[in-house]
Amino acid sequence: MRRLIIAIVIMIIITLICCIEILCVNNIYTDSSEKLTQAVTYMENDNYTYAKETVESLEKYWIRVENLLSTFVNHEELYEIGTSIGKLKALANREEKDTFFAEAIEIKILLLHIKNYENLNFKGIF
Amino acid sequence: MGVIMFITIVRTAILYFFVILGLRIMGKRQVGDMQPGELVITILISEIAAIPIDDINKPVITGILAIFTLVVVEILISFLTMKFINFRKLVNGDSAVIIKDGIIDQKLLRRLRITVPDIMEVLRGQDVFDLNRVSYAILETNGSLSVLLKSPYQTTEAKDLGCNADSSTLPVLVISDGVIIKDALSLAQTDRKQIYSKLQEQKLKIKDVFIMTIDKNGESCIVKKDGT
Repeated sequence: MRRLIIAIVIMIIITLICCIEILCVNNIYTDSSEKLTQAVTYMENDNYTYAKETVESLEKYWIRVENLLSTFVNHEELYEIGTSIGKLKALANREEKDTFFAEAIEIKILLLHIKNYENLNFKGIF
Repeated sequence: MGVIMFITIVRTAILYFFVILGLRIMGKRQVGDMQPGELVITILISEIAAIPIDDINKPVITGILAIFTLVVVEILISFLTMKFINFRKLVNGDSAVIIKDGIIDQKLLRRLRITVPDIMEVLRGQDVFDLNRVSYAILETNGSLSVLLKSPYQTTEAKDLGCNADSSTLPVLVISDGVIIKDALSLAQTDRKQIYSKLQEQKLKIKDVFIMTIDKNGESCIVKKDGT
């Protein structure tokens, strides 16, 4: 009976950890996507200064959340996103719109991939 | 490169700790006594623990969560097999009487895909060389074979000889590698004073003793440390 109670407690802890992880990933995806979309909008409107600032803010945000995400997510994927954000910053500084948009889309896809991969879905299970 | 090696070392230590913790929570038995489901869980746990060690890009927590999920599944299945006989039969199978009165159940052997040389080998491992001596041989769910010999061939017991044997006493380990095991004193129905007096008879101190056992009759066995 004691072991059964321990098993139930462990199950509850595991479920809580998974729920926290899903919430974290979803929140980080939402915040990162918002900043990215903002940066793209500024770039579209030739507002290069605000675009650079937004990308810098995105970079700082990503550096902050990467450590937390690395607890749950494959490190290679996080590294790819980090690298792409670095490239985005350079492109924003050089005001290269087309390459900037392509890089931004790539980051969005990578973020979406992480979000879908970490969320509970049929495809993920099988 | 040095950092990667350090990470690998730390991950290995962390996962080793959690595997041991998981196995302790499950209350594992020795490999020879495991049911099929338990053996599967043990193998799976070791495989899962190796993944984050091998690939440092994978988070350690995925391995730990998978290990404890298996622990939970194992405990739940153990609980259900304990409570429901039919579930037990489904998961572990049933024991099977392979030999009855020296006669092998050939149909059953074929069904279980066991060969005669397999049976004979296991019987020889239990010092049984003649099938005619076997009353019952039961293949257990963990794969072991339990053998009951016919009465004329069974080991003689004291009561068969009409002997009044004293009830057996349990020698309890009370000193191990120079340290008294406090919990063992009550089991051995003794105390430190008695232990010290026993050691004094042989002019020994506790730190000189490698092993000391004592039973409730006061019979002791002392093994000194090398070099004492």
